[in-house]
Amino acid sequence: MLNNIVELKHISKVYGDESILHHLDLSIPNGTFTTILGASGCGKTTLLRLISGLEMPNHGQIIINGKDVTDLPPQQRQVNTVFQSYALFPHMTVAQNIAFGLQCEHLPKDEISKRVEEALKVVHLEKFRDRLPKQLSGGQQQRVAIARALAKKPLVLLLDEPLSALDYRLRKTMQMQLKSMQRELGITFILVTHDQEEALAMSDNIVVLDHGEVQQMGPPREIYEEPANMHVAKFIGETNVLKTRITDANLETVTVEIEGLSFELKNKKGFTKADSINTVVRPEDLRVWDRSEIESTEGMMTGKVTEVIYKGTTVDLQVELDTGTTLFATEFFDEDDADLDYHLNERVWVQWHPGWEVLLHNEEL
Amino acid sequence: MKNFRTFSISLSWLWLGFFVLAPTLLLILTSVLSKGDTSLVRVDFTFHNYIENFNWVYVHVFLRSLKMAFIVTVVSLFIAFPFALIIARTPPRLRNFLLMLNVIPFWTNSIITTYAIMIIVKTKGLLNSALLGLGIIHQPLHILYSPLAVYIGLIYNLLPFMILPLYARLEKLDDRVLEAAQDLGANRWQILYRIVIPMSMPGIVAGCLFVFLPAMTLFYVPNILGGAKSYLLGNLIQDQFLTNQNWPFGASLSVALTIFAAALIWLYWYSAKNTNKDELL
Repeated sequence: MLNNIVELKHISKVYGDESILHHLDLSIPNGTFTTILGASGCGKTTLLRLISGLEMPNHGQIIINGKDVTDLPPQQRQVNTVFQSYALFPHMTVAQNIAFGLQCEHLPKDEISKRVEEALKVVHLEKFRDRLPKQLSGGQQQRVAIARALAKKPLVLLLDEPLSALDYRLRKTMQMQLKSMQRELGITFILVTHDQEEALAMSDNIVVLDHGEVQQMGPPREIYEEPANMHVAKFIGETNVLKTRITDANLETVTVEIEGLSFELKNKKGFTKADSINTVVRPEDLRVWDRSEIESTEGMMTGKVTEVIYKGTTVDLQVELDTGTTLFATEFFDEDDADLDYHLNERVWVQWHPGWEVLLHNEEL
Repeated sequence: MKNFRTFSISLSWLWLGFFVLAPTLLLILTSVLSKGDTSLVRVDFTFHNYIENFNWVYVHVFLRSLKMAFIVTVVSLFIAFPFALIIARTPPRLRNFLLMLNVIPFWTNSIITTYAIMIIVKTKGLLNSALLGLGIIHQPLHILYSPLAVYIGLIYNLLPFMILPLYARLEKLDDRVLEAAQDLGANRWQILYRIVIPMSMPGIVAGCLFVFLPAMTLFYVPNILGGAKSYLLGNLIQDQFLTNQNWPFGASLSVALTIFAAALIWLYWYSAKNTNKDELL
């Protein structure tokens, strides 16, 4: 088996005057659950349609399972799509919908019925085989669309925002089901979504797409903890972006001034004094203290609480620093701090766990 | 506002009462009266007219009308389907233009269009001159006053009734569904036979009804274009009223035809109800 099941080489796609994808290179490892994450209009659905063959690229090459399929129509590609609107055939029953793709291949009858049964079993719809799509709920229709695609035994299953039409609870359930389905079948799933939470929860591998370019690709943890640039940092999760001035830099450390305070931080990316950078800190990495809780205020930013949002497992705070910057902090209930009790306008001291910050080039977004 | 509503509703009921209900009742009444020698009808209740309907001569006319209407419907469907599909698949701007081209002859008085066809197909008409001029034929074709001319006239007049309901269905066809079929490996023919045609079935049935029923009764088309061999049910009824002066018999034929048409429509509703209620046209 090849390492990368899908390879896109130098892909460009233009609609009229509008350039959707520019010289995009992307390799998707075989057997992974890969998510293409991006805001609407970033070209992620176009990317999926290029892989399925429903769109043709203006430039570049598409390789599936080591074979150049750039000029092949969708019928001749071993990939299948689950459409956002499900696109079930309304005049066919569930079983007929699933059998359709197999009949097109002219498979023998008993092979077709065997595969239809298997597919129904995977999505737990055995009892609904003779229903028409309109007699099913949204979640059930979704599962028919998945079964219909899986029955074809594709090398890659493409999913175009498949969960966006479902309600919150059903979406959570389907996320888990999709993930376990992928693990059991072992085939590559490529899912397109704008929901970063969904991407983090489901994927082995996330591709962050913005402005028609791949911004970063990696496991969810890496994407979240080590964003490659400001696009990724701002798109994934909540972030605090702090203006940062480098006062001194060497190979190991960089001395910076943030909010009037001086910090010595690890220089992982080899910044020099000439670089313009930002410091990115996640809200959950900020600790917010009351004066009585701490002995020394050294290296801490001071400010006042301007908003308190109780969320059950956490308390979200909005803190306005004395310098005028607003920070967002998420505090957890734990043994250190069992009663998180914050009042509006309370004076607080804010710090972060050193080393958990990320330094990034300052880009105009 | 409320007065206006009451007014407009009662107006439409009055209209329907005067121009639909009353004539129909009169027709039914006439159909059970007897033919008069000095007056239009003689008040002498009888079912003789209906029994006379089953005279072989008239059954023969009915069967011939049925056959012609059937052929007209099938040919119209085969012409209209690709036509409607092409219109539905063109970009919206051009689509309206194509629809307009389709609707203009539909607005033109059909007797005028029928005469226009006569000018085209007559022995020294446009068609023959063109074909002779091009050297494709050496003898003029005798189309006028043959069943072929009647078929041409009927199909031409009724084609929009087939195209429009088909178009209405095909235009609603979801692109994603067609893409899904492609994605699942269906070729063009498989998409057409297994997806497009079944999904446009209500439009096909509606179009067939709209063409089939008038095709049996458009008496002026055989009158203008046809000979004795294309005498339709419509001509028979017309002749009872205008030539034979046998109004009761003409009325009984009309009532019988109406019952036949209603039965066909009921059959359609019934089958549509059992398959897809919300797709009724």
